[in-house]
Amino acid sequence: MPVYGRNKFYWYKDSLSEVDEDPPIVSTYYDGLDTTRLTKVLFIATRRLDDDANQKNLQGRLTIDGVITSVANKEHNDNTWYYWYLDQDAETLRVTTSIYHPNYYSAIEGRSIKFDAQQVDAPGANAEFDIRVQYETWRPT
Amino acid sequence: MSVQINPTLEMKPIAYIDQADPTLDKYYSVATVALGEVFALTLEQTNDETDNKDIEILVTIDGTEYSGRIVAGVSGLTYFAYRSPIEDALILTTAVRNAGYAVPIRGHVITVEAAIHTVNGTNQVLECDVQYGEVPTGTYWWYKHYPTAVLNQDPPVSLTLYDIFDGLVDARLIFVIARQINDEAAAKVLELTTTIDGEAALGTTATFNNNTWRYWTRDPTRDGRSLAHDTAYNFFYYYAFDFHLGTIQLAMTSAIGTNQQLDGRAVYELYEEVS
Repeated sequence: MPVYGRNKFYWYKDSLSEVDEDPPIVSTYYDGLDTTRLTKVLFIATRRLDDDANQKNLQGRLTIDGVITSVANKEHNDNTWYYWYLDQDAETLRVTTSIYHPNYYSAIEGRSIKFDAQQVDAPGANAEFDIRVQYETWRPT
Repeated sequence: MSVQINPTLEMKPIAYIDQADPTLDKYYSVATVALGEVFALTLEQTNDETDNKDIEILVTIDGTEYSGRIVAGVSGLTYFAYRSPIEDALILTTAVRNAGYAVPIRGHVITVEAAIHTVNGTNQVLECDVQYGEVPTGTYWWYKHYPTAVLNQDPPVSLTLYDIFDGLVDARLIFVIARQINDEAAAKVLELTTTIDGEAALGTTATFNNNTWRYWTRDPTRDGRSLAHDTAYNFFYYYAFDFHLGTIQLAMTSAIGTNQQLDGRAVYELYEEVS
């Protein structure tokens, strides 16, 4: 039952969640975000690079309220940020290199939200794997 | 223990008028929204001669009036209204409404009125539609509208930070924009600095051409507080930016020009107790 009580809650801007895995281990999931309170995710971004400078496959996984909502794979160009968002059906995770854009601004909300990602293809030499998640949490003021 | 949730808007039936033979300069009430959000506003007039008419939509949000008026409103053409990020006004456009125009209009009390300011044609009709939602009864907290925060620093001192706003509490930031003007019409570098929920962000600098508004937007790969900028005035760069406590400051890092002006604007709402 929803409660709209007199105790005031509001969104707090949390520090940017950062993963800088250098080098990443192939087929190992890294947590970009894992919250246990009401959370609003604004942006999820991933990037990988190595000396090969070839495309490499990354897999991302979004879990909302304990349920894996969507899993998606995306070939990542070298040293390029990719942005993850929920498609209009709100269940399909999409990935784009388009410059950030509100059409890709999903405002994903849940009582707990987890995003993790793994590099599917083996990384080359001097590999780096980055995740950035901007989010807010609903807390008592 | 119950969990207090974020109030959720409930969509309401569209409020509208199709006013035949409207009285000149009379403002017709279209909707009164209590504790809610207006999603879309449209305005249209028709007459048998298909003459253009001067029509207006007037939105009052928690006491602040926003007027959108078009002097030569084409008969039979639907105009969409959305908020201007620069001034307390509405912009009317014939562009098809899309996500880019989904700038929220929230408040404790929102009223929408429509008027015609030209003598009627034959079978004159004035139409206005309002799509909106309201939060459920029993909600104690909701977004309240405040007039745009204004910084007009004339002249500024180089490398000195000026507040666009200071210490906003439980806020939703909608737009931050800036501009500089000088007699030499020279481009200048401005810096935006934010302190939000206890974290101070390094300033983001950008070159501003003379007398050109620029928009500061989120950078999705950084901390969200180091705002990026964009040259285009564009609603695609609207992102809800919520925080518990925040300050935004603007500085000019270039040398000051003749009759130098430094302007900043912030459009925001505060989450406040319902009276």
